[in-house]
Formats: sequence, C-alpha cells, structure tokens
Amino acid sequence: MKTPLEDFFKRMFSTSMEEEGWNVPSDDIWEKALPHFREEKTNRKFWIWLISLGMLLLLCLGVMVRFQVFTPKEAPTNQEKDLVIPDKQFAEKQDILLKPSAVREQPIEQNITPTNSLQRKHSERPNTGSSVTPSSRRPENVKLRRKDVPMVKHLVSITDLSVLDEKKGVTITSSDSFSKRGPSVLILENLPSLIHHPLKTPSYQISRLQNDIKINKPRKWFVSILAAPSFSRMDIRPLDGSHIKGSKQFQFSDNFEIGVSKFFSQHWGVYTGLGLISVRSKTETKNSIGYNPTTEHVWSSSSMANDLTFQTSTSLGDYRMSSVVIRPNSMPISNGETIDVYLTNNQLVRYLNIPVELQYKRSFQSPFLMYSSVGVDMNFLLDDKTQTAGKMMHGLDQMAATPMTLHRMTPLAKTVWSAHLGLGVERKIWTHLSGFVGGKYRYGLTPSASHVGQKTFLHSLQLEMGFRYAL
Amino acid sequence: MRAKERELIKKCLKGHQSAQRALYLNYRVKWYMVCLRYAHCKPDADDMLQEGLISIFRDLKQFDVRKGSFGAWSNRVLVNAILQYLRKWKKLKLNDDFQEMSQILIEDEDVFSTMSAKELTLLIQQLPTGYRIVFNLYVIEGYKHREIAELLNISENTSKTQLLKAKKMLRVRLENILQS
Repeated sequence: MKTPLEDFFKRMFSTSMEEEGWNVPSDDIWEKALPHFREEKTNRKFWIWLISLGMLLLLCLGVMVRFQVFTPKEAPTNQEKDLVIPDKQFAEKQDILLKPSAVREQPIEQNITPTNSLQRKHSERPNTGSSVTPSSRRPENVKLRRKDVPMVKHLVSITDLSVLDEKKGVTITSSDSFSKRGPSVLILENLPSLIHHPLKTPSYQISRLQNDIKINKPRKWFVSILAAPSFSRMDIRPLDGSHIKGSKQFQFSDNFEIGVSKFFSQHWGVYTGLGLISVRSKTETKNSIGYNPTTEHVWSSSSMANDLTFQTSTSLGDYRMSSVVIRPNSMPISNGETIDVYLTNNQLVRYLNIPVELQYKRSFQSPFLMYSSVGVDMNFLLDDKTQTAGKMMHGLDQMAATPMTLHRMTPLAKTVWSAHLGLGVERKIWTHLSGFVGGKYRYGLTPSASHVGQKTFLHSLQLEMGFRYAL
Repeated sequence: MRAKERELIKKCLKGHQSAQRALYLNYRVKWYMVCLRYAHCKPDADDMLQEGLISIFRDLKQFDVRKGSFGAWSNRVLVNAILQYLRKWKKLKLNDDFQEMSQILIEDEDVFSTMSAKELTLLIQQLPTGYRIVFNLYVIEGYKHREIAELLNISENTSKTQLLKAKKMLRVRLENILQS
C-alpha cells in the first residue's frame, strides 16, 4: 500500500511536464545517439564487406598458389626439349658446374642404370665423376650429401628433393652461401644416373629442369615479424569548446605484428598480417569555470555542508568526460572568480590490426635494399581502459580535486580504418633472414582517435623494425 | 495509441531520420525527466538519455502496439538502459542493513507539495544511488519489492531498506531546506 508521500511523488512525475529548460535535453544528446541507431545496419554491411574481402584474398591466394605450382607446362614441347643444352651452357656460364678435373673421385656403391632413352643419352655423355647412392628409393626421403653431387660446387645439403616430384619439378635448396645465387641448382648432365626415380618420361623431367634453372631466382614468399612503436599528435575537436584551454595530449602506441608477403616480381609484392596495437594516451585538460551560483556548472549540495560542487564537461579525444569537483566551504569563492579544474586522463585501447599493403623493394647497395609500402589497415577494437584524476586551482590555492563522480567514454568505433605510407631499409643477415628498419606515416581515422559520430583525425609517425624470413 | 504516433513509429522502423527526430521531440521531456530522477547530476542524466535513446530506437521493432502504449514501453526500456548504465559504471551499490531501519516515518505530503518538480528532482538526485534507484523504481515506476530485488539482484529486504532510507533522507533534506 502506498503512503501519501509515495502517492504524491507518483502523481507529481506521472503528469506530463511542460518544457521548462531544465527538463529539456540538449540537442547534442540526440546528435550523438543518432549514429548508433544505424550501427547495426552498418555492422551488417561491414561483415559482408569483410567476408567479401576475405574471399577475394583467398581467391588471390589460390590463384597465386596455382600459378606457382602449375605454371611449368606439364606437356613439354619439342622446343623445351631442345633447351637442355642451353641450360647446361647457362649453368656453366654461371660457374656452377665443376670441371671434370676438379671432381673428387667418389666411391661407387651402386650405379643406377638409366631406364629410358634420354637417360641413356645422358649417360653416354662423358661422366663427370661419380654416381650417387640414393639413401632411399622414395624420392621425398632422399637426402643427398655434398659428396654425392659432384656436379655442383659448394652444395652442402639438399633438403628438398622435390626434383622427383612430378608437380613441383626441380627445386633443390641449399642452406649455404651457394644459395645466394638462387634456390635452384641444376644437375643436368647426370641427374638420371644420380637418382633412380619414377618419372614417367625423360622429356618431362627435362622440361621441368629447364623451368627451374633460374640462377638468382628471387624469393617470393616472406614471413615477417615486426615491432612498431609510434608517437602521435592528436587534433582534438572539443565537444565543449568553450571550456577547453591549454589542453594537450600525448599518445604512444606499440604494434606487434606477424605477416606474410608475396612478391610477384623482383620488386613488387603484397603484404598482409595480423597485429596487436596498444595505444596509450595521456590527455591533460584545463577547464576554467567562472563561479556563478546561477549557472548549471555550479551545484550546491546540502549534504556536503554547503560545499561548492563544480560540474564540468570536457572532450578528451575519444572521451566525453563529465566530472564533479568539490571545493570545501572553508575555502570561500566570490561571484565571478574563476576556478581552474585540471583533468588527466590515461587511456589504454587495444586493437587487432590487419594491414594490407603493396610493397616495393629495390637493392641499392648490397647487402642492403630499400623498401617502400603503401596500404590500408583495418583495426578491430579489443578492449579499452581509462583512468582519470584531477586537481583544482583557485588563485594560489591548489588542492586535489575530489575524484570524478563520473566519467564516461563515448563508444569507440568497433572498426577503424587507416592508410599508411612506409619507407625503410632491409639488410640480409643470413641466407634466409634479413632485418629491416623503417618509418611509417599513418593518416585517417586511426585507432584511438575516432569514435562514432565524431571526426577526429590523427597523424602518426611510426618507427618499425623487424625481421623477415624468406621461405 | 494515436494514429499519428503509430505512423511515426512505422517510419522510424523504416529508418526515416525525420520520424525518429519527431518521435524524440514528442517524448524528450518525459524521457529526460526519468533520467534526471535516476541520475546524480545532469551530465549523468545526459549520458543515461543517450544510452536510453540507443536502446529505444534499436529495440523499436520489438514494440507491440497490442501490448500497451509506446510511452509505457519506452519508459521500461529507458529504465532498463539506465540500470545497465549504472551497472556498467559500477554506480549501483546497495547495502543490506534492514535492521537499522525500524522507525516509522512521518508521511506528510503537504510538506512536499509546495515544491516544484525541479526541486523534487534535485532532491531525489541528491540521494545516494541505491536509495535513488529503489525509490524511483518503487514509488514512481510502480515496481514491487520482489521485482526490484530481481531486477537489481538484491534481496527484498534490501529493497525495502533502501526505500525507507531514501524516504528518511528526503525528509531530513526537506527539513534542512525549510529551516534555512
């Protein structure tokens, strides 16, 4: 059963109210809420977009893989058959063939008799020294040692004998300095006698050999890891412009990323990856409030023995902060005097970053090469944390402000786009490994600078360093 | 429900921005008054209204004309959004000390009747959060203690305590004002 007091309050607030100023919300609220109504639709659009992009990337990847695997023609032409000798000449020109006199005699444990005409043809040619004893009849398990391959200089280990694989063709990789010349080593002359293999036709084998003899063949796939710290300057568009004076913001972010790049030619390639960006920002604002008991910025609280309660609202980049500071009654203030409220906001926002970029590489002084990149980033919001503190000054009085009774974060955009330009230098450290250092300029609605309904632009300069491993 | 309002809601569902604004203008005072009562201060109320607007317009498709008026439905959605906001910012703290509140309060509506809605709102705003929320839910929205307990995940006794304390505090504040 309701008491008279309850009935009174119920009646008082049930009747429709006239607009009296104090009970009319500002238009800002509507303007800020409006973009959220359409957020769901936008999200749906975004996912459709993302899935389409993913499918496109997969398609590209599929095409690339297919291109790489199937480009060698499966049915060689007569012309290709004829190219066996030029290949040999080329190999000689590149000085990868040992002269017969320089070949060390190797013990012959087992000679494998050529089984077809082409192999016989090869075996009829002057033997350069030795045959090989395969460790296994199964090609993928065969591992050759240097002494087993007298044709090739400097060859230390051969890890991939996909030479015997119909689809992959000849790809013999070595991990020593020889590989600087390229990943493929051609053993033209006595390959058939070196290894017994199940290839169907000799002509096929030859054509594959032809295809793969590319000295200085550039590596195509790279895996990178990088760390990229950055320092940013933020242009704030204040929500309550009249209150902002002497505000400043510093932002530091770090980005750890792993990615993969594919080069289509010696110079051009594409890169994509996955990164974790942590953006830390510190924002300091100074609000000057003229004391006037009639304004809405000054509220009196009887529970605090008539201490003065100052209410401020400030835009701090991503934040719309409202705060209340209390000045004790023991420190009087006259009408018209100004009280300065300093607010400090420490924010940490983390994003999942997916860059897609076009890369250009060019060597300018061995072993250095220069790279540049241009691309876009999609940043997905993971989480955000904020901590606020404040102090108040009035004349010479300085005191810690009562902690904010509220602070509120304007919703951060779930997805943020940015564009970037990069430039750097890469140096080969080891056969497959290189290190790089560069700089990146980002522009656009970057991680910490955007929120729904607000256009806040951020320029950032990012230092990046990392390692790249050639596959 | 008025035909005009029904038409507005239909247009809102189709995404007409002008209709959304018109609906907002019709209800903004009512909604804002609710927020002011639940908030400690005006910026809090602004934030609550913003959250509430998002909820109302996002969930508009769930509004069923046959189940009641838009005003009542939007009020419920708004109150839920406000409670969510308070939970989100950890402002919803209630103490369970029913034992302390055994005294019977004087319920004299005449004392309050001289005050305007604005003054009453300010008075409510000065209550601690827990008292304010329970007072609003029980007295103004008409929730039962059992419902409040479920809504706020507290015991019924806590809800009753908060209400008694709220009324006592209102009384004390009012006496202070009258004395001064």
